[in-house]
Amino acid sequence: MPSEIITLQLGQCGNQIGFEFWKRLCLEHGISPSGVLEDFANDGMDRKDVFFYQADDDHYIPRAVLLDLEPRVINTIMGSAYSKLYNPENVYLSKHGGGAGNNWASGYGQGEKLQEEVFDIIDREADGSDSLEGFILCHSIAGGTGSGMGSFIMERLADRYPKKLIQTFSVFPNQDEISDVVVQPYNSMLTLKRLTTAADSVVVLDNTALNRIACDRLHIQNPSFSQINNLVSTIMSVSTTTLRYPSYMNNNLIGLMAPLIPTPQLHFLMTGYTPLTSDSDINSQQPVNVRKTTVLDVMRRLLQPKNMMVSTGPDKSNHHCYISILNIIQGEVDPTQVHKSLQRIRDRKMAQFIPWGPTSIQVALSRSSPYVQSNHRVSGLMLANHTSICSLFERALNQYDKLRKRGAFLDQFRREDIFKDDLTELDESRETVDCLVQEYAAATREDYMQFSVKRGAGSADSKSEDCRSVTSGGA
Amino acid sequence: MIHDLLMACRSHNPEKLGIRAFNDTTVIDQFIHPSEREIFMGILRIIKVYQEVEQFTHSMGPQTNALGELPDLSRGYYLLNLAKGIEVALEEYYAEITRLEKYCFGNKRTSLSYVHSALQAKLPLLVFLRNVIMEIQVLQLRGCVLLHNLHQQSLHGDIQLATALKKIMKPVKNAFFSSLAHWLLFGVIDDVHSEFFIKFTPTDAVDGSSFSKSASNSLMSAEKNPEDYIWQYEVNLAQLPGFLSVVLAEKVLFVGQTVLVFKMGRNVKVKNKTDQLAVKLAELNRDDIYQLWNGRESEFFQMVVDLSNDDTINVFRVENVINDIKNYVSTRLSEIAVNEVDLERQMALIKDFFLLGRGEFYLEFCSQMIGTMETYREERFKNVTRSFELAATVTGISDDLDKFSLSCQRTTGEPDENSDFHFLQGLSLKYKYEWPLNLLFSPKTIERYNKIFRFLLIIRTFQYEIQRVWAKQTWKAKKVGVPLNNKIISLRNYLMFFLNNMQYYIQVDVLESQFGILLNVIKRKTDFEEIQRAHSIFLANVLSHCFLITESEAQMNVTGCQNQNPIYGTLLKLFSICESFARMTQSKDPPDDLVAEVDQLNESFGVQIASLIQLLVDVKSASCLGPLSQLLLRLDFNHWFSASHNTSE
Repeated sequence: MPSEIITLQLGQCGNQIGFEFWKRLCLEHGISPSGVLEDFANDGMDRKDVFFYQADDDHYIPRAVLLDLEPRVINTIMGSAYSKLYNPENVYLSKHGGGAGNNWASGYGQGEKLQEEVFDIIDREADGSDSLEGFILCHSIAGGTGSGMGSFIMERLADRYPKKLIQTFSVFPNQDEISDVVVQPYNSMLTLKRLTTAADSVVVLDNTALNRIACDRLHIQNPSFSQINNLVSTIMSVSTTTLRYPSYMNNNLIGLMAPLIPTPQLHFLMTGYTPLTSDSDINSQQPVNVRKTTVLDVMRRLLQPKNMMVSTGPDKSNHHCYISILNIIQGEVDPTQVHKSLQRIRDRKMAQFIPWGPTSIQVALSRSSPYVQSNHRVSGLMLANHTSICSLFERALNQYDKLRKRGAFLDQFRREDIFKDDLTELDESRETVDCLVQEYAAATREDYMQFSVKRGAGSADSKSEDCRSVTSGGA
Repeated sequence: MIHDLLMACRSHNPEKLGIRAFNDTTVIDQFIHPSEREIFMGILRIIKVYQEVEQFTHSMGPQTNALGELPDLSRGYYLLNLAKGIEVALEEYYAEITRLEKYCFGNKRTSLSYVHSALQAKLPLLVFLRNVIMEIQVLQLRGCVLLHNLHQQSLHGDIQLATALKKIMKPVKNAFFSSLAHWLLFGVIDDVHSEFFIKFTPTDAVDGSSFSKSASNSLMSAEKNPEDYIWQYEVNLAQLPGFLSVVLAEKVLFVGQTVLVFKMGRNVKVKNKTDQLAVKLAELNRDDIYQLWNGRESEFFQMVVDLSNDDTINVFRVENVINDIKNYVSTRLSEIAVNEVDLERQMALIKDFFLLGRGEFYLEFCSQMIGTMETYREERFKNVTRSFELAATVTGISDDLDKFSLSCQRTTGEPDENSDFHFLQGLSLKYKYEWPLNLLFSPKTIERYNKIFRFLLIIRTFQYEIQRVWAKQTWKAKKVGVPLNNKIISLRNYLMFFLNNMQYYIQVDVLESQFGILLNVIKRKTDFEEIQRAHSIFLANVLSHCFLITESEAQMNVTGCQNQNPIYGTLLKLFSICESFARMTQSKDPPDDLVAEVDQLNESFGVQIASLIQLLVDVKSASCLGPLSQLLLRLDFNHWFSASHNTSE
């Protein structure tokens, strides 16, 4: 089967969202928790083989590798009904089970030590596929294992598989609550560097925004992990529907990503999903009132910032713009509506686009699973490349700078090999992220194609850069 | 004397001896009183008219049989029947002559004026007949058109003439309706002189030389390629009688073709099976044609017979009968098509493969094709079919695909043999349709599908190439860390944008919406002809919205040589830019002046896209066509191309 994709889940968060993702895929493809194809799912129109491989006639196994340095989450998974779903050889737990202590450097160092065992699994999995297209990595950037070990594995993957795509679903920490991980700014910065240099595309899942959406849109006071993860699994599964079902376009990861990413650096994608309902628990089988959403509704709502799963903060300067948009629309869609919606959006100037190249809203009509009842007539996911995502990185820079100035908590990093001699790795990471912010800021201007990164530009410089673009935007 | 004259009145003698005797000799001067000469001459004039008429019937008519010769049929059965009809109409005149003869014998004192006045009464009839004949001869009418000519005059105000005309028409009409009945009910045309308004034109040149082949012959040759020969029947507009509209004629054609399809289904089955069981099954199927008529053929036959028994042609009744039969046939057919062969499924397959609905399959095909093309460039003609099959196996849809096969014509004499574009233009997809969908997929239709197929495949292939360029550049950037050339990146982005939006436009705005309309018609379980019509509208719309034919052609339904749509021309140029860009950036040793060449491509892309936008804007403002503005909207969503075009001016 062509264009296979291997999923890697790393750390506590990565394994949790990965688990939700696989639960969702099983439901959509009619595969039981033990990996057996359900009787009702025999029509075979879907492309299970992209994410699963067939062990025997009706037994499907996910192309997934589960990695963690501490056993808690993986044990929960292995204790659940889905314990028989995964190939047990693809589950790797570090022997000491002590975790990475929320320390990026520890995760990175352990990754280096364990790389042979880990890549034995990944190589075996890659050999088992006919024409592997790439990897999907699920992790968070704030913790220890997902960020540190994830960073290491990303770098190794880019080396080992130079012609395979690496896509990540990266969870960004919640800014609204005080984190118990004090070194989170360091962890984020170090991971962001790898996401910039080693990954081909990053789907940003911002916990801040996810919590806000859960509160505002779903009216849940204190959203639980499972509720948030439900949102995440929806995004992950819908963003892969064009790969998993027959469709006329975007049939592989390249086809999905290439139109969205015009230049190699600008590969951080935001997502939005609508409509969201509090009763989006896919397990409930009771008949629900199907909401009569229309294509225009969905496409319009997707452009509203409040539906974005990334909290970019208020865009005061109003110069941020879309670099590219892909809407994946599911449900009963009248194709003539697509054009009308596009027309309306353009006429009302609902979205602002880059001034340095042609771009438009691409709309892919996708099939949805026949086995999962949707409570909406039309629903849609937006994958967007928007310049305002740099505010997320700016925030990370600010937090990092605050901590770094004080030189706080650096001791636990110095203990690890990579920081044994000095802390240049931290500074380099900061610079990479700073360049990224510059590039995103430049992408709002007409002369972006002539842009070249100013290495080593201080934070003051980048601010004045911003000011200039504000005034030019206002003029 | 008078008796001689009366004899002359009935003379069948072709040499006109009767009259010549009067004219040549001086009998008139010697025996006729000067005061009666005028009357005598009058009678002679009447006789002359009669003889003209008579000469026609004689030359055409069946009387020649007496001489043991076959009647000269080269001018067709309709003229023969016309002659018969005129004979019948002349009976009245003959009766008058016979009466005069008797009168003369019984009465010594007969005057010339009596004869004259008696004959004078028949003059209008004779003159009328002569006019009819003259008109037919002058206009060289034959076949069905002749019947139309008669029909036009059938509402003659003179009752005497009107009845005469009915008599004339009767045999002609019978011939017409019997042809019609044969065609409608059995799909047979026994029309040696191509007089019927449906004709069989063999397409293959060898058979085509003998144009006037008998129907049985054509059936024989047809069995060689049973799939195609029904399409060689078409409406012969030259012979279409004016009282039948073209629409009605199409309906008649449709019914006959349907019957043929049913007959063919039987033939094919009998021919192909050799084993015992299959033959038995085939025997069960032997009455496919009865399966169509369901025992109602006699009823329909009676309807047509009734028509021919009418005195005149009642156009409305003819229409009604044809409509009744057509409705019955097409409802039957759509029952079979929808219930037995699952038309919806067949159409979905068509969409999946001809219209590239299965993107993942064609993606695999592209990668197989391009992969083999790089290594064995010379053998790609052979390999492309293999790639197709391989892709089917890999994607696991061989079952769906067993009705399709890809073939590839080597285009010789092309100036640029190596170009992928010309190579792709040579591809065509074959589809084995299920009986009785023959009516939906004529060779012409398949060719049209192939046209769209090639167009879509070209877009798809170049899209795949450009995506490979993207991947290559992305990985390169990741590995080396050297910033890429901005010009190459931006041209790549333009090209990718153009191809993607072209594809979104065709797949969503054109195909999905048009296909939805077609499926709705099929789902409504309407009669088959409506499905057929919806299907051809679907194709015509798709073709014109893909700029493959011009709007006017689509309306006129002409499939002949196309004068190229200007938009299509521009698109072709854009495709060739895509091709050279892909080749330039993919090659292992890029030319030294890569950047300069990319610059050049960039420039020509700018020119072409600007002219495309301009064309779309012009056409849009000219005719407010929906589809064009749809493509324009997609291509120019953030006013990039139109803005840069304006500044360059």
